Amino acid sequence: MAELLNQIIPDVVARSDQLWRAFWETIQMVGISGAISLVLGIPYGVLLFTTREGGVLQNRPVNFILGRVCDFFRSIPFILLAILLLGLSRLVVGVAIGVRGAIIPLVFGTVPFLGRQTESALAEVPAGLIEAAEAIGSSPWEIIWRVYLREAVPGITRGVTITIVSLINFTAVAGTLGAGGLGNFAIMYGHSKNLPQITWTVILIIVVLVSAVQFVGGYIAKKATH
Amino acid sequence: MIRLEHVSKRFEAGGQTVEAVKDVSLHIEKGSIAGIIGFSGAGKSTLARCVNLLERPTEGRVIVGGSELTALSGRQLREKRKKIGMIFQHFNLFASRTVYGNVAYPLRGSGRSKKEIEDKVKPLLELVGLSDKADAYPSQLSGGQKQRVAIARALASDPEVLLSDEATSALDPETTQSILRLLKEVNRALGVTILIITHEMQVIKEICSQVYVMEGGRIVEQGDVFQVFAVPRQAVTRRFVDSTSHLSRIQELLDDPARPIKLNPGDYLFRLNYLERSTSEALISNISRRFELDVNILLGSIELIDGNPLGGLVVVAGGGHDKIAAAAEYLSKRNVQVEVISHG
Repeated sequence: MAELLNQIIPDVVARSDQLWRAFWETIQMVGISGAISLVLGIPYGVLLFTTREGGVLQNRPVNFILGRVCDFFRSIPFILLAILLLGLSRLVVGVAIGVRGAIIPLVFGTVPFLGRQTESALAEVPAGLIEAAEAIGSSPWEIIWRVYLREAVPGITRGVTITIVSLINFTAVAGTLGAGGLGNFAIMYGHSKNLPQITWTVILIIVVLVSAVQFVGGYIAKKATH
Repeated sequence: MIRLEHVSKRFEAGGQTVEAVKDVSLHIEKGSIAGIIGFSGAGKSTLARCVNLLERPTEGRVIVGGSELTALSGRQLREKRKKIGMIFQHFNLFASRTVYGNVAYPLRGSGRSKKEIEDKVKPLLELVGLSDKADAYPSQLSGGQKQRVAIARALASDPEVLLSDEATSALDPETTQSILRLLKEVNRALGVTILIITHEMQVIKEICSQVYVMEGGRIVEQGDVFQVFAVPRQAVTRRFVDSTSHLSRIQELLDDPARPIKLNPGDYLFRLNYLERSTSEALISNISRRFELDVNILLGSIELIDGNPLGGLVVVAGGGHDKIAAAAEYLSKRNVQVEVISHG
C-alpha cells in the first residue's frame, strides 16, 4: 500500500507528516468553530424567526436589528471578513494566526449563515401546530422548545449540514491567511511549489470529508422525519 | 358556559379593513352541544377562535366558565386555555411525536410524574379507540384516526369546553359519522360543552341541539335545531336545509323536457313541509281515506332530529278540487305547511 502510494503520489508521501497535521488542524477548526456556531447560530435563528411579525416573540425592533446584523456579516466575502476580524481575534484569543486565530472569523462567518438556515427550517413548521399549542395553553418558550425545535429537527439538521460544509470551505480560505489546515497546505505546496499531486490530494480529502458530513446529516434528518 | 357579548373582529390588511365578525352575542349552556353553521367566509371560524382568544376580538367580551377571558393577562389566559380544548380541520398533530406523545403533550411540563401522565393518557386512548396505536406516528394514521388523536389530546387537560373548528370537513361521510358519535359520547360521558363550527348541515342535524346560522359576520338566525330548520326564516338557512334534502329537485323534474311527471286534469302537485314536532301520525293514508283522494308520493325527505321528523314530501293528489282543499286545510291544522307547486 505504502509502496503503491509512493509510486503514484511521491510528493504527498514525502510530506505525509505535514499533511496529517494539516488535516488535524482542519478538523480542529471545523470542530471548535462549528460547536460554537451551533450554540450561537441556532438560538440566533430562533430569535430571527420568532420575533418576526406574528411570531410567538414578535418584536419589531429586535427582529430588525438581528436581521440587519445578520445580513451585514453575510454580505462580506469571508476573506475580507477574516482580515477585518484579525484585530478582534488578537484581542480575544491573543493571536491572529494559527488554529486559534481562525476561530473568531470562522464563527462570525458561520453564525449568521446558520441563523438564516435555522430561521427557514422553523418557517417550515406548519402554522397549525403553533396554533394548536397556543390553544393547549403553551407559553411562547414552551412553543419554541417543545414544538418549533422539535418539529424542525430534520430541517435544522439539513441546515447544520450545509453550514458545516460551508465551514469546511471557510477553513480553506482561513488557511490562506495563516490559519493552517488543509487549505494552507494546498496553497503552500500545491500552488507555491507547483506540486499538483498535493493540490489534488487535498481536494480529494475535502471531497471525502464533505461527503461524509452530507451522509451523516442526511441520515440523521431522515431518522428524525416521521 | 360560553358567553359572547357584542364581539366584533376586524382585520387590517393592506390599508383595508375587513370585519370578519360583527357584533355577535351568544350564550351556550353548560353541557350542551351547539353548532355554528355558515358558508365559507361567513366568519364562523374567526368567531370560534375568539372563544379561546386565538383571535383577540376588536370589541366585546368573551366569558368562558365564568371568567372573562378578554380581561386576563397572558399567563392567566394560558391557564384558562387548558380548560378549553380545540380540534381542527387539519388535525394539527405534532408530526415528530407519537400518538402517545401527542396526547401527553398538554400534560408534560407541569410537574406531573411519568406515571400520572400515563394514567391520564391510556384511558383517553381507550376512549377514542386507539390504544393499539400509541406508538404510531401521525403520518401512519388515517384522517379519522388523526382526528381521534386530536380529540384525545384536546381532552387531556380535562377541559370544560371543546371547540371543534371544521373538524369533520376533511373526512369522508362515514368517518364523519364516527367522529360525531365520539363527540356525542365525550359530551355525554364527560359533560364537556361542545361548540361545533361547520359548513355541513348534516353535522348540525346529527349532534347539535342549538344552532347559530352565520352570514357576513353576523348571526342571522338562531334557536334549537329543529325550530330553525323546520321554519327557516333566512335565505341562507333555507339553502342549508335544501342542501340535505332533495325536495327542491321537483322543479328540475317539472322543467325536464322529457316530462317525467304528468299531471292529469284536476291533479295537484303539493309540497308538504313538516313544521312542528307532530308528524308521528299516518298523515298520507289519513287524508287519502278521509277525503277519498288518490295520493302519490313523488319525493320524500324526512329525517329525525331530536326524535322528531323534519323535512317534507312532494305528492300528487287527485280527486276533485273541493276534497283537495279540505285535505289541505286538515294538514295545515296539523302543522304541515302545504304549498301548491303546480296543477293539471
